[in-house]
Amino acid sequence: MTYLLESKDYDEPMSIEAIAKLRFRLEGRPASAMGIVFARSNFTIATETFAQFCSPLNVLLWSSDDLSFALEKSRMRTGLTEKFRYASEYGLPLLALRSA
Amino acid sequence: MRIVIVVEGETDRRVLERVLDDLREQVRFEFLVANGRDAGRPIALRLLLSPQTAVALVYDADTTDQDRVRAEQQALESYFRRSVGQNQFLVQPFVPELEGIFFEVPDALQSALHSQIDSERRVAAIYAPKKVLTELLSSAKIHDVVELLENFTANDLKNLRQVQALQTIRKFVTNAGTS
Repeated sequence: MTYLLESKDYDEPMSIEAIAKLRFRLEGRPASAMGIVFARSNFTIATETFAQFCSPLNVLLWSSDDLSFALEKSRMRTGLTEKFRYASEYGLPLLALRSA
Repeated sequence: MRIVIVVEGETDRRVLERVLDDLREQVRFEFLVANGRDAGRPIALRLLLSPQTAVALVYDADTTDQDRVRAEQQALESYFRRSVGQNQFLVQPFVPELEGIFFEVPDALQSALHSQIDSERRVAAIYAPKKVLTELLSSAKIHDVVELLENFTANDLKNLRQVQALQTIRKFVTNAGTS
């Protein structure tokens, strides 16, 4: 699996723009490539919904809370696997790792 | 049935724990603490995708504009409804903040603070209850809202439990526990 990564260091919850830009970049890559957006904040409901309904669902979201949790528990790798499974099973881009 | 109340922070959990503790004789429920509203939303959704799980998402509206409060509440309800099957959920804002519940029982609050609240502060508390309460607690040398609640009598707590938002949460927990 190949991932394109985008990270944003904003105080405010992430807007749709970063997801849209990353999806645009993914269009020029093989279909198996996926995107990941890491954010120091969380995601708005609009951003999450946008990532959910884009077809195909090829961007996984990592919120500030996910990063804190995964780094504290040394679960970056398993977290990514869990997020990918969640996206595959439910069609949702944002698994809250704290609840997994 | 697993019943989970997702809250924005540890203080909210401790306040709600105290206010709902009398229900534990009838139903079992648990709290999950998120780091803010936008962090709580996906946590609540993940829980709702599990069978036999009822979830209440409780958060500060951070506004007194009723249109904005309603719009956000409806957006969250739609967000859950489109992914969740039969599980029950509740989206409950505190307007504008959870600390506002204390100003809805002013007599109990004054008694717990051992001082009167002037009219200026009462008006300010409508818009910024957390800030006003923090000032009042500081003046009364009370560490936090949890310590404040310890000063509430049984009757004060009974009155506090009548606050509309708390009634809605209590009803949800009770109904989910008996369904």
